[in-house]
Amino acid sequence: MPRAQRLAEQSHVEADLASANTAEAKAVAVNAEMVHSNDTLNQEIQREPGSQPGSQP
Amino acid sequence: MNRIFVKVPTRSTTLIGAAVASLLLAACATGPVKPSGADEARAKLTQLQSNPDLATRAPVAMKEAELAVRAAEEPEADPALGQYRVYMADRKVDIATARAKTALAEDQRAGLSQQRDQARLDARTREADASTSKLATTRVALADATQQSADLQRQSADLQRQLDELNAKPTDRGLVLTLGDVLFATGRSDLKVGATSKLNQLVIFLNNYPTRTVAIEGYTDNVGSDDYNLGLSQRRADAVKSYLTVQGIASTRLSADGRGESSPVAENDSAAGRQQNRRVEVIISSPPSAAR
Repeated sequence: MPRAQRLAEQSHVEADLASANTAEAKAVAVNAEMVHSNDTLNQEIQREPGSQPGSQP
Repeated sequence: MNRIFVKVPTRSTTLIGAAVASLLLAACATGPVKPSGADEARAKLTQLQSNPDLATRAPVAMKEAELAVRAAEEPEADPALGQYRVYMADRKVDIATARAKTALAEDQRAGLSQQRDQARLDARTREADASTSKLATTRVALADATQQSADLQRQSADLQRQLDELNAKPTDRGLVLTLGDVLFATGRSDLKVGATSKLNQLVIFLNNYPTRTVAIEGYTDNVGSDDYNLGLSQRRADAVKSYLTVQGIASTRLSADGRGESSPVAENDSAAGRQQNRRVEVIISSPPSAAR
């Protein structure tokens, strides 16, 4: 296999890896935001039964 | 006769054999070997494959990683090619790991979304329950208010009926009930027997409206001295008060005042006028809430 072809394939796999890492980071960030949002929602609900979510105390 | 020919090695054939042998020896010394780093790539892949959360979440990337690791594990005479395969295997395993973690996060997201929806549903349910409860409370309050209104209307009608029966007249001083001289014999201040029906109606009225107070005022005609008439009117007012007290009306609600021949309501020059002036007036106060 020519050296140039190997280098090209190495570049390609590096790009794939970068893309996969970015997708993973985004997915984890989205989940963290959802967890935070759910926690906030639950706290809001627990704080004042019967009140609307997001309402100020 | 058979002849046996034995080939005697020549010098040239000996050299060729030696060269082949040395080539074989050299080949044995620098033959294909497993590239360094291949074991590490395999270990990393094995770790990924044994993780129950990740093993099955990126099957395509996992298969590519497996193939790349196998290729890297192949003995290779060309060190550069071997290192290239190890490099590719290592990256493929990393890609498979990242893709599996992404898929795991996406699967977890569905659960988080479900939790959020459930929390919102719970909030809505609680809100609806609170609204239902509030509505029920409002309905009860409305029913109570309606009942109270009906009670007040009935009480008002009762009051009007009883006032009509007493023949009390509304004035600036309150409701005035005038008791004529039929209560007393001439010159006397004790109530006539059987002449108390109006007073008994007044007792019923005062029992029904316990916040009302009563001012009893006695009046006479102009026959006799002023002092006498004043004393007689006071005793008659006291007699009425005493009767009401005996019937259970608290004395604190009653006052008695003799006014003598003052404030006549008719001329004293005729028997009919004097009869009108001989009277006891009962002034029923308005209730505190109605007083303005």
